[in-house]
Order: sequence, then structure tokens, then C-alpha cells
Amino acid sequence: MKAKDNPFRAERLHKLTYQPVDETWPSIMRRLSALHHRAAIIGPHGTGKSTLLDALAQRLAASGMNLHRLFINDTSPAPPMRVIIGMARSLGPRDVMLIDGAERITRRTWAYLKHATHRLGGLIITTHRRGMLPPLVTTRGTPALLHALIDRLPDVQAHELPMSPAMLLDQCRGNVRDALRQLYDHYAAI
Amino acid sequence: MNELTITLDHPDAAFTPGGRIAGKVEWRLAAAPDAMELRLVWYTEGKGTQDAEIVQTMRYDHPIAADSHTFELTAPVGPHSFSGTLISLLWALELVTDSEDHATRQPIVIAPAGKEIELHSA
Repeated sequence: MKAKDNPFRAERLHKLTYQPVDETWPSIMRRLSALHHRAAIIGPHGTGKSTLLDALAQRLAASGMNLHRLFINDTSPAPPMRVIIGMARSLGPRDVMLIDGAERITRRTWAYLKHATHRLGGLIITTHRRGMLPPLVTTRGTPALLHALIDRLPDVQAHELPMSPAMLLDQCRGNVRDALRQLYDHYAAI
Repeated sequence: MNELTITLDHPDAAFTPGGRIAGKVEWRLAAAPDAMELRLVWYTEGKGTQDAEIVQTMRYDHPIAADSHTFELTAPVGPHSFSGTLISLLWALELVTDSEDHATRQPIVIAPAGKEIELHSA
């Protein structure tokens, strides 16, 4: 199958926005407010942390907050401590710092950053590591989540898949993103 | 009801590099936009990160809410439209309001002989 026809092509997967599991958006936003917008989205790789952060960013921007996002991964390493702290100190109560991949920040920098961001409107992070900030949502890769995502893709019939979402997710060690990429490969070979 | 349409003179929407891409754009919007843009773009689709580029733009400033214009563009010499199992490169014309609240896309092919190049796995 050609890439442009593959139902699991990246552009389509990017359009799969976060949908809360077992709760509602108002309850998430109330909890975030109760945490003074200082909270962590915690979970393993490929379980929707960044997707949830994107969705939160949209809601916070719509409420008039200014967002400042730092994305840290293998190809975008954490900036030096003075840069992160300098950024935090230049912001104010209408600013929210979003850090995707916060577990890559060293513990020393994190200690300074937590202090430097106290007068900000918020600090929301995604991380694999517990204990950095109070948890807002803990994401998990479940067969139900994978099934729900597949159901939202047009032109995909669950019975056409090479294996059940549960088996697929088991193969991918709970990483939903990897499971969707595996399904791309399956269709590419057709 | 907001309607935007792009109608090509060549209904097969296939063009050769350097060839003439002509047609008509029309819009019928609830309110007059500040501007409309017709964009010639290419973008990739597939397994990896998407790339995209706006190659040419025709701008219609201060248009009325319902209007139409003919257009004529020259198909760039490259990149050519192609498709494999991992990546496809696609061309399109896009008609968008300057606020990008409303848009429509007309896929086209730009390649030698007006035929998308097919990549085959080794």
C-alpha cells in the first residue's frame, strides 16, 4: 500500500487528540486548578503524555494564558541550567511553562527550576518519573485505549487488523505509539 | 454556509514540470475575509514526520464575501510527485482565508508525463 493511502500514516495519527479515560475534561481542569497549575502527566513511553499536554495547552491558551513549551528528547537535549532558569525568571503570573520530557532534566536543575517558577501561572510537565510534581493524570497503554484510537481512524476495520489490540500492545510492551507504527507496517506490506 | 472551491481547467489534475496550471477559485463566505490566498504546496505523508512547503502564493486582498477569480501558475520543476510504502510526496492547491478558518485543498500531480512516480521496495 502506498504511504498516502496507509490508514496509519503519521498525519492521521497526529489528528488523534487526547480523550480522557474514565473522567471528563472539566474534572481534569478542576484538578489542575486545585494544583495551582503545577502538575505532572506521568506515564511510560507512547501512552499519550505529549498528546495530553497538547490538549491542555490548547485549553490554557484559550483561557488567556501565555504558554512557553520546552521539548526535551534524544534529539533535543535539555538546555543548560542557566537557560532554563533564565527563561523561568523572565515569565510572570499569566505564563505557564510546559516541559515535555522533564525526566531528562538533572535533579539539581529541577530543584532550581521548581523554585524559580513559583510565581508563574503554572508549570506542567510530562515525565516517566514520579515525585517531580503532583500527578495530574497517569497515562497507561491499554487495549481499550488502542481500540478506541483505531476506532477513530476512518477506513480501518478492527476485524482487518493482523491481531487483537491486546496482543499487539503486549508485543509493543504497552507502547501505544509503537503499536500504531506496527499497524502502519502491516498495511504498508499489503 | 461557507464554500470554497478550486476548479482546474485540466480535470485530471496532472501536470508536467514547467507546465501551466490554470483554473478558477470561488468562495462564498458568511463575511468578507481580510484576504484570500491560493497556495501551491507540496507535503509528505507516511510513517515519519511530515514535511511541507508553500511554493507559490496568489493573494486576493480585501475581497468581497462571495467572489471568483481565474488563476494561472507554472508548475515547478520539482520535486516530483512520488509514492512508496514509507513516504508519498504530494502536491496540492489550497484556497484559504487569511485567518485560516476556512480552507479547501485540490490535490494535483506534478511529475514527468503528469504521472506520479511509484517507488518500489527493493
